[in-house]
Amino acid sequence: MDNIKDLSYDELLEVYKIIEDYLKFLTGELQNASEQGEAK
Amino acid sequence: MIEELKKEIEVQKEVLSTLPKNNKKNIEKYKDSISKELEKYKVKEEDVIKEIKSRKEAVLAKLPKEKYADKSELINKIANEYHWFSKYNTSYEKMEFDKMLYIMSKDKVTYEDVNKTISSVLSMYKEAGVNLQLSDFSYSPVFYEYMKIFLQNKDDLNNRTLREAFEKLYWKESNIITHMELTFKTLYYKYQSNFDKFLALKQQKLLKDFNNSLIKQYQSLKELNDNEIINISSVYDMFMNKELNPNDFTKEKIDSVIGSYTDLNAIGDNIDGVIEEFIKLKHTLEEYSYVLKYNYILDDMKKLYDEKDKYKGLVKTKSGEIKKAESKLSDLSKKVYLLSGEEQVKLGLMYKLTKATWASKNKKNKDEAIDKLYMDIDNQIMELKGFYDELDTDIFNEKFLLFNGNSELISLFKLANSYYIYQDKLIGEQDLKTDEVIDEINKLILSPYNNIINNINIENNKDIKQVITDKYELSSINIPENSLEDISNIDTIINDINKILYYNVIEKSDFSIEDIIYVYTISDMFD
Repeated sequence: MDNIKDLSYDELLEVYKIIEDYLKFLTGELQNASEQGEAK
Repeated sequence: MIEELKKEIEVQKEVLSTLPKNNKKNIEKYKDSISKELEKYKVKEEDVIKEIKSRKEAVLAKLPKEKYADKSELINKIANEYHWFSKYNTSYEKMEFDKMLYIMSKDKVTYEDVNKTISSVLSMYKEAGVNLQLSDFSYSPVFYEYMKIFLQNKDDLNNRTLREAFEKLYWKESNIITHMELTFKTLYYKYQSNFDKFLALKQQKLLKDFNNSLIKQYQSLKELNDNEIINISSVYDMFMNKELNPNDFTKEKIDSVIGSYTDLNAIGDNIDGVIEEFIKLKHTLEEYSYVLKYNYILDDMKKLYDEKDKYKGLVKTKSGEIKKAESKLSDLSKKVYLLSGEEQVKLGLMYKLTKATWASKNKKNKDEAIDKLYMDIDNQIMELKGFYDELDTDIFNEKFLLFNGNSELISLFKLANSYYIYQDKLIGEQDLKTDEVIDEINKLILSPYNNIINNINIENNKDIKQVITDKYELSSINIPENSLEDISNIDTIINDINKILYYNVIEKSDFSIEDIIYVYTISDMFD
């Protein structure tokens, strides 16, 4: 990722949190889609 | 960057939401898109985690390579040796015979405790160069009987014969432990010179080990340790152990703490001077906190001091009573040894001759006569036990005659601590552990920071709170008198001072408080 080294401690941890939340969202979506596919 | 990232994710979520999921084929396509996105962001996450860890490493690299070696163990060891030098004690108390025998007489003791105590006492005599023989135990015939078997089995205390002997003698004389206590007590007087010599050698060795002055050595090490123990490594550890929360250590919060005791604007560049005053205040508060905590001891000791004139001559009178009662006891005991033909106890020809008629009269009903003598001996020993307890109190009280109005409070603590039985009774009323309190008072006595207890006199009724308040007002530190009324308030001030000291350590190190908050925050997130 670009400019990651310029971030402050708080910003770095916020970026981590945003990515982590997004990964959780994507994992959930993938799980739902798999269940939906099986149902069809 | 954060805004860009958020926007990118929002857009992507929007794109994903528009994808059709109406049939199996579209669902598979949707899953593909999600998987690609997952892969992409996992890579990003790895980069971020790598950066987070690398920054943590950079912070940790600022810690000193070697930690300060805490000297508390050595300091405590010196404190524990201090009793050997108490000017209020004889070698009897310094050897802790008083404590050992008092515990035997006070607490519920087991058969094993009795044997352990006898073994310890024998070892202590041996250490002092005295190899006790059976004839040394003739004070009480019943305890003599036990020692006869004990000495034969001293290397195997689980021996059945020994246990059976104790049981048999216990049923014969249930006060056998008191008989033991007094036997050992009187034995000490017989061999006192050996213990005095042993003690002198012990003191010489300790002085050699501790640079000719135990107190000076204790105090210099304590000061050094206290100065060094608050360092960046220890402060860092306190944060990581969650004893401290770094969010309480922002500049604003610490300024607010300092500002509640002194004028922040007046400090200017003199932060070191202010810190020095806060350290002094902390020592004063710790000392005063002990004065409050152990005020019940000071109060009781002051009452005893006020009546000191009553104690003159009591020891002499009581010693006379003991001498008379012991002479009577000795006569009774010798009669038992004479009747039972005990050869190891030297009775003396004159004694045998003068008691010959009595012995021949009682020879027929020997057992009956011995039983009667045992009863008389027990009565005599129990009376002597009372006398000796009173003598202990009289000896303690007589020491108040050494004090006058100019004696300081520290003398009261020293004297109280010199007499275990007194401390145990007083501390027991407070439901506290005697040994722990004695240990804490011992360290207070030795403290290098005392200003209160070694300056305020026994008869001085100064308000110590006001003395403290006025003293620190001179250094522009405001400590209201009412904040010194109870120990919990004082602890709050000490905690505040510690925060100021810890903050100062961080300020002087390569760390910033942001470094610590950062590592503290991520400490539970990654391995």
